[in-house]
Amino acid sequence: MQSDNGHMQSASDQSMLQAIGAGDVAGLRRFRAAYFEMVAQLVRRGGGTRDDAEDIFQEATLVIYERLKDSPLRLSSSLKTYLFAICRNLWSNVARKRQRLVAINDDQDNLANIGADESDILEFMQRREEYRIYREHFDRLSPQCRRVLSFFFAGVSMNAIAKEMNFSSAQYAKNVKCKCKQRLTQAIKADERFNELSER
Amino acid sequence: MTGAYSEEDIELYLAGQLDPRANQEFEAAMLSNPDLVAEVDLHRTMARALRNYDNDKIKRNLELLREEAQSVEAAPLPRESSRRLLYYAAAAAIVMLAGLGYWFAIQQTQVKTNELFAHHFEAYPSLHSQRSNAVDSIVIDELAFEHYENGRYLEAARTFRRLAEERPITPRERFYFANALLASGAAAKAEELFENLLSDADGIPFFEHSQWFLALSILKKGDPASAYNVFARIAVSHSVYADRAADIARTLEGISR
Repeated sequence: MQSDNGHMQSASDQSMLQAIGAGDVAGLRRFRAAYFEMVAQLVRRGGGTRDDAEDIFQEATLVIYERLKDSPLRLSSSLKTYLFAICRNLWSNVARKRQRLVAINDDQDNLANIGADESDILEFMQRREEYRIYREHFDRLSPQCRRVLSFFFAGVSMNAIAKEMNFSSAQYAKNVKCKCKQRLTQAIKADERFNELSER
Repeated sequence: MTGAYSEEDIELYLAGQLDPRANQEFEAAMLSNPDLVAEVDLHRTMARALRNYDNDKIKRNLELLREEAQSVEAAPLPRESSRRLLYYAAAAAIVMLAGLGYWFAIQQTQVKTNELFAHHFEAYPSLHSQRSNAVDSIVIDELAFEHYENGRYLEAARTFRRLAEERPITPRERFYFANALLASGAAAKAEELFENLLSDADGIPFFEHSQWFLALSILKKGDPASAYNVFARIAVSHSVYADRAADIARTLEGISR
């Protein structure tokens, strides 16, 4: 696949991205076998342990997974570079939180041709922080509300939601959806973190 | 305040379901009403945050792989490997003395050999039909093969090990046992099993495949020089893996340089 800046996305990168998007064990095992040591090396050089590397690798894989679900992803660099940049970002956040002065790897080899992908990563990480607030409040809703809203956001019709939830009518499903969404909206608006993000 | 607009209007706007005139009016209202803009943003972000909020499966699988890796690292080495362990310890000491620059180079090589391994390794397929036609299918541990076929290589390796403790396992079982070990990251143990299979006359039906997977085990273990020798041997043979082995050998030449 040819991206806008002329970088050819390799077949192997494409197949790895598909595997991450599917979230299957076999594909994730392949991804891990190819790149875990690189991440472990980055974390080790930054003063972290192998356990830290495991955490960073898991989180970075989740970031890529969620990024793929969020909107189409066209890499201008290689998947390896993209992963390295994500891990570097995640590890610098961890190091900052631990208030530890660590050297963050600026490996030019691993970051070659990162180009536009760097801003994609930064933008998505910020969006993800915002999503986290929404999801935390969503998790606190009743199981019924969570199911109805999940169907609604997945684009399921009110008729189908009513059928799935054993509601008497589509109108009743719509009322439940409105109440649940209002509850969620209120909780999000009352969250200080949401207000801080809105003011940025 | 969102003025005359309800939550439903906002949802219709975001779904692109307002008629052109209503859409135009809605956008005009947004220009003079920052509260409406904020509300639209909130609903848009909510939809994006929750539309694909289902990462239980990948989280579970990532956790599984982490446990798999830790269990492979923690597994005791076979007794016959203790001498080899001592050898590695001595070699590690020499490497440490050789300095950090050399260590850094080794790390880079390890990353590259891992990538090469991941690109070429695919566990040897196991199918019921193949097994039923097997020449030496005496007693087959259904469970081990079932784990293997479903990609649960760690469980497959454990079941094959239990089987090996109960009775001598057939070359076919040994071959899949070694593959399961390699697929779950236990490259050194897989290497021993493949070597063992290659030196056994009964292992001849698996010779070609065992040679290929032996080379991959050595590569995975992070020993590009020894892996190169085996790949180079395969490359000049009549093996079905000859072309792929030649490719890898060429790449390994580049890494060692």
